[in-house]
Amino acid sequence: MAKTLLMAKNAAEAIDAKIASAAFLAGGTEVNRLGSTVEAETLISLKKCEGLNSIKKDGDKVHIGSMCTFQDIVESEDVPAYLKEAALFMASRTKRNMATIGGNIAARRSDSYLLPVLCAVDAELSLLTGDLEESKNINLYINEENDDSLITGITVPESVQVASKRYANTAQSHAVITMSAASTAECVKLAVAVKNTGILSFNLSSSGRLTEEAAVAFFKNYEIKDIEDDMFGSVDYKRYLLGITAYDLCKQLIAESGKEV
Amino acid sequence: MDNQYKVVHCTINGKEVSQIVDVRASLTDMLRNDYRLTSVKKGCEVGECGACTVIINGESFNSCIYLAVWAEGKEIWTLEGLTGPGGELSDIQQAFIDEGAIQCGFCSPGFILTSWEIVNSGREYTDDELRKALSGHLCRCTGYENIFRAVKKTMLRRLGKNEEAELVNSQGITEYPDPMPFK
Amino acid sequence: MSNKYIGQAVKRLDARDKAMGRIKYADDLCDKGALIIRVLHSTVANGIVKSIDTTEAEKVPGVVKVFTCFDLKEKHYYPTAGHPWSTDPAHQDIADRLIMTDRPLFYGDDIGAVVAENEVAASQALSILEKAVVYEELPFVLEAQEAMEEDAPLLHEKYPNNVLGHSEVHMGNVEEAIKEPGLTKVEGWYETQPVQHCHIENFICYAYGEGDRTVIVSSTQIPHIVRRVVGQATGMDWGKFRIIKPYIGGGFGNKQDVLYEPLTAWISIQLGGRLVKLDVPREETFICNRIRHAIKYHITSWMRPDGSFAARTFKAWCNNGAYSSHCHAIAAKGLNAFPQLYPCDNFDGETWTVYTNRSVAGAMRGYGMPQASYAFECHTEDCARAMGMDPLEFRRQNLMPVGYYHAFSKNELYSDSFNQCFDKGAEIIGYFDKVEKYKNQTGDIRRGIAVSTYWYNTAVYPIALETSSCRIVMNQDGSVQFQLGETEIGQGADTVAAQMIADTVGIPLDMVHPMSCQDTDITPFGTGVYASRGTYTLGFSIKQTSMLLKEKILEAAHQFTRMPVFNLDIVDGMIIRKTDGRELMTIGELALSKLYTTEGSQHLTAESTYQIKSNAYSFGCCFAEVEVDIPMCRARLLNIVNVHDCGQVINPMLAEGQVHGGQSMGIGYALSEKLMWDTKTGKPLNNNLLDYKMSSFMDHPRLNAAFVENYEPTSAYGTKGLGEPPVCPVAPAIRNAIGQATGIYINELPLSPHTLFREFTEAGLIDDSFAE
Repeated sequence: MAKTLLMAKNAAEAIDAKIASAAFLAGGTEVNRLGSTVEAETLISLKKCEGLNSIKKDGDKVHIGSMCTFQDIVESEDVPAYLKEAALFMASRTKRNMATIGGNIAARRSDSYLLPVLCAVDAELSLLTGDLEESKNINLYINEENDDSLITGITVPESVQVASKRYANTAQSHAVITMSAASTAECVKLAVAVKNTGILSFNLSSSGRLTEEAAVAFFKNYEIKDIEDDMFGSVDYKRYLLGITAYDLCKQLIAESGKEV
Repeated sequence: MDNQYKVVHCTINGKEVSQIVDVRASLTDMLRNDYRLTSVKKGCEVGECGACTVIINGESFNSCIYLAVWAEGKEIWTLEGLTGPGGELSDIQQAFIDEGAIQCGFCSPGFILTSWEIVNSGREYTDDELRKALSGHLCRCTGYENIFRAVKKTMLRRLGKNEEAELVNSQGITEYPDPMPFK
Repeated sequence: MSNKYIGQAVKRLDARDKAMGRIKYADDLCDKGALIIRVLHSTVANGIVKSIDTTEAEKVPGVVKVFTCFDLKEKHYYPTAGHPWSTDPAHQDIADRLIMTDRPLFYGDDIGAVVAENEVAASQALSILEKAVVYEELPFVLEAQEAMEEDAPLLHEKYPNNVLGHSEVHMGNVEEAIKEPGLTKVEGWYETQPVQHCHIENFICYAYGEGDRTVIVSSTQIPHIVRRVVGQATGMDWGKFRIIKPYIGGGFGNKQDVLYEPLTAWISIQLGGRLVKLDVPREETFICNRIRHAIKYHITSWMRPDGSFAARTFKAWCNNGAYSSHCHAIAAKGLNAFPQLYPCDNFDGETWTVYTNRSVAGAMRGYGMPQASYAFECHTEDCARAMGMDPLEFRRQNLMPVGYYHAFSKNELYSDSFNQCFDKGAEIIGYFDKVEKYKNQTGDIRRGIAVSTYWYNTAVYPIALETSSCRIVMNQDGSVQFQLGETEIGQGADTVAAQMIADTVGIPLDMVHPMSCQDTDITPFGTGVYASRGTYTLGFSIKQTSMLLKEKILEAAHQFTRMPVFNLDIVDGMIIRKTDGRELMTIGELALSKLYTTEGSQHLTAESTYQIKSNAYSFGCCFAEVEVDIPMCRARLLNIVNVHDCGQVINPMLAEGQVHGGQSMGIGYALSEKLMWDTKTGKPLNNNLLDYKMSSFMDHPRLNAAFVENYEPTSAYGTKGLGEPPVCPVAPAIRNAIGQATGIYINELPLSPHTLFREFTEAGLIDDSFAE
């Protein structure tokens, strides 16, 4: 259990305090749980930080502060529908009032509610590292070991076709897979969180038509390191699920946009 | 090695109060130990069961994963606050009693508070939306059925739809439209 | 006797206090200054503790004492089951548990304890202590049939092949009977999974010294039994302990076992009577309390062309976990029920209860019958299909007939419960129309509807002692308090008891008050609640005691009114003269007069024990309608109806609540719940609320309950058990409905997506193998 708690007043103060033995505390749904795996001497609470919880439309983009809660996202008029859908995957409303988008990204859980959709749409993260402010594609961020940056905001495109699906045994349980497909001019990008394996992304090109059999065969044979039999399902089951979900989502996108994949 | 302490000023059940707390303490601990508001229950301490739910600034939160220091300046309501000074019960509390929505009673405080927030919103929720809004609470005694009745009826009554409210109990067998893919 | 309250949906007496948040459970009552106990659990599935180095843990600020298994000066092995004690040694429960052991037999066994001033210090010390344990690890076994093999690790010396219970039933001659020509044979293996009770209030108890005794406040269903077992576990006189049971947040059978009361009491005594509290965290509740037995069944039936049974065999292997707890009772119940539910002249049955290095299985709502009903009713459906017969008709033909009498238990089926329940349920859910509609479906999404029944009885006569005691005490204003050994655990026992007393004595319900919290110092002896015994057994002692009280009241009324007792009655709190209906005096005036009179003052009270020597069948059924999305391998429950014949329904609202609760447990049992262990390490995998998939609000449809009321002739108020029956038929009904929808009949639980995926793939319903 952490020994010290710092209430940062703004992002600069928070990043100043960030040393190796300190961890950021956003909504608390991950860190404050009994049995949480986050170990730190010091917790830097971001609850009172100014400027981190606004949502702004900017042309075709929407900027979302990292401390916006899931419920803020659901209730905002400016947030695109696909992101609201992903936020609603967290069934417990009491938890949605606390969990933050920044926290969900930084936790990098293999059953993450938001990472698949954010990766599929190529969301941009605003990061603060020391004095340096930078913008980074979320797909790069999650593949790096990066504990020292503070996510200050997330930018998502507004007009993009997205379909998402989440599979869990009951409404509250951890998901076996959470997948999103986003269609852009060139191709369909798929991102999926596979429990106990991680976040995977695929680009499905627009040449030829995608059939269910082809999708299932693709995932059956795709080299996915670390996909294993565990209590969430056998390897075969997970691969099968990936296949039919991918097909389903693509079918949905086609129906909505009239385009072929 | 000293523990860190801080004073927390907030409003609890309509009354302004202040208390010194360990900065690592959860809101559940502060409410139960320092204010003896024992209706706030500990069921899992990981934010899964909802038995610790309280209303903060009009919204329901799991107090077991909410730090006490975050309550600074906030308006907090626990179940004790819903009862009037002379023992008058709110409509949602009475509905829980009338519909048999309480058995062992351990999950009830959390449920009643979230239900209170739902009926206060003035919105009409569909059945699916009601289920989703209440899914942060686990109950092993009631199968959620009578709780559903209590919340739906109260919501409808507040919206002036008394006749519709009286029909809720008899709508147990549900008609589903043609098969559609599972969502 | 009036019937003013019995049969009415009276609001439960504690509902208002619970809705206000005023009710105090164990943790709410415990003083803040209590020392906190955290138990040190074994992290090996089978082994010997060689040493535990407590030095570092003791240094943590706030730690008061660290205990280990080596601190036990005397080893008193004790039984933990919530059974009435038997004075016959052959019938006593197996005493194989120690307060702390150096020979852990499952991952999670109790090998030590940390006592500290606050929770943070306790858990810090515990994590340090966990690393300071040196084990000699031994091979372990997790499955029942494996544990019975010759070379399996032996858990308890007195039980070779790890078999702690074995029983057989034989009727007629199976070998001869199967020679009859023209028989169809149906054989099946059925398997159920371990699940946990998940009551929202975790088990908790606290203890402190008072005089030369120790007081224990515990979230339990069985306070009097706890007292006996704490005495046995500590080797002290049973009267040295006082057990208090406050309001509890659900029990469901987990708290029908003695859990940590002995350890808590022992620690308090070691510390000179200090107040100590043990609150079991949720993760530990899953694996260190009790779970439901996982049972594997092998059933074979031979049927004649007309669909009747010529012969049947039954074998079951019951996985008991590492300690005996309820011993062989769960398995035996299933074995004995089998030949009763579908009677057949030729039957061979055998069942084993087996020790394994897993969490201890004990009582859980249904006590072996949800498992057995699953096996029975899956098999029945399989038989009906093999014969090409309609599943409902097949059941009607073969079920226990009206008038059936079971010689051992003296149970008798007095009414046509099964058919009445089937008829009612079929009508409510629209069974016959839907069966027609769902024939010959094609397409990816299909629906199915099915019915299943079950076997259950009420209380435990003649297997064990059945007794209930009641005390009623009248105040000066005529109002009464009553005490019973049958505990209120959320089911509403207090309320129905009050209704019975009000009607039998003849006073208004608002003058009857339960003393809800049992205290072994004050409450008359009772064994608690389990086996759906509550309403049935307390009814006897209530009626007897109420009648005794009424007699005393009328004697006193005679004194003050000069009227003969045989012309007097009590109606609605008024003493009336039966001959002309004249109101003579109120019950309050009578009580006041009788207490304060200078001619024969008496405090009007009554107390009696009733030993129950009867039992009652309590049957019913479940209709389930499901929708199966074949490619997604998901089954969704659309509608569910349970119909039960529990005799006269004392309180329809509370009875419905019991059915809903049972349905809810049955739905989780059928579709998503399962406790799992890692086969390489014996470590539990999903002992927390996120990974253990208990149903939430979104996972249930609306639940429907209906009743058929056949007044039970043996009962004091015409009632039969209801607490457990509703869980039993749900899982098989869902399995059979999925079968009707898809043609795939699965023989295991839960019917989760990965199970369906495996079954559908094997059957070729979905195809995930494509040539490149």
